[in-house]
Amino acid sequence: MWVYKKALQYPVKIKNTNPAMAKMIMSQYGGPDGELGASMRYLSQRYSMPYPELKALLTDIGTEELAHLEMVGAIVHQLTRCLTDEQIRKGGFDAYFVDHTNAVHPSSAAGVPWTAAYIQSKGDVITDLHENLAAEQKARTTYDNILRMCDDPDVRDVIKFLRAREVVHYQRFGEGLRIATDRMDEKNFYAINPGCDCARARKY
Amino acid sequence: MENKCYCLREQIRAARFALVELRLYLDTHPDDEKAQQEYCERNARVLEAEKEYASCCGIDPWVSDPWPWDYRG
Repeated sequence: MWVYKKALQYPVKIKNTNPAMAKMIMSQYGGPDGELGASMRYLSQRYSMPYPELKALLTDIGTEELAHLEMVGAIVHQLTRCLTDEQIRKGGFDAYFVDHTNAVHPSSAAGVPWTAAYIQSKGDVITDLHENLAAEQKARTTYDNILRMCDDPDVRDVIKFLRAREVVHYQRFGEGLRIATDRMDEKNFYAINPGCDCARARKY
Repeated sequence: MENKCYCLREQIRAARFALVELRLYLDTHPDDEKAQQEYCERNARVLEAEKEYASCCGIDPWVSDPWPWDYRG
């Protein structure tokens, strides 16, 4: 179950609005490699994980991604407060504004709404962990791209924190992969899928 | 007083973050007793700090503003 703590994991205090930047950062809210995808991916995968360390890891990282989702939402919200019509138009924010005003809505920088097609929960330990390693790198790359496009120090500070977390998650999933391959059949770790081959999985 | 409360709140935020980091490590190293011990100690210190914060600065209100994403530049 979840308990909500009324605080951001890392402070978000953005003094200047910037709808053009908000459009870009939106991709980390509802884009293909964003935090919503990350949290849904990990929280969905944990049910079919056979090892408790992995259930714990996926739960904790999935939960942290929800906290990051909140931070990205806060950034987008603070960048789009109290805009004038001219600021909206100049920032290329008019199309989003028509559909969402200055609400936060999970879609990508290009305006594509979030979809579960961005994630996979395949029910195979090795497959799912590789999916996650890739996901963290994709998120890290997206933050790198955002940093290139963004020169506001208030925004950069938060983005750098989020980027660093992706790198740590990548390392943790690497650990998870090591644990899984150690536990599985040492002659051929593709021989069983402990997520669903229950009779054989019981030997661990 | 406000400054002290602000500082305390930021310290607690940082301390809670350290707990998150340690927890992720413990997820993949559950037998590391030294780390378990450190987690317990740090957790106790965070709870202490939160108690001190509550008595000096009051309990953070749930319903009323500000909410975590509210910030007026």
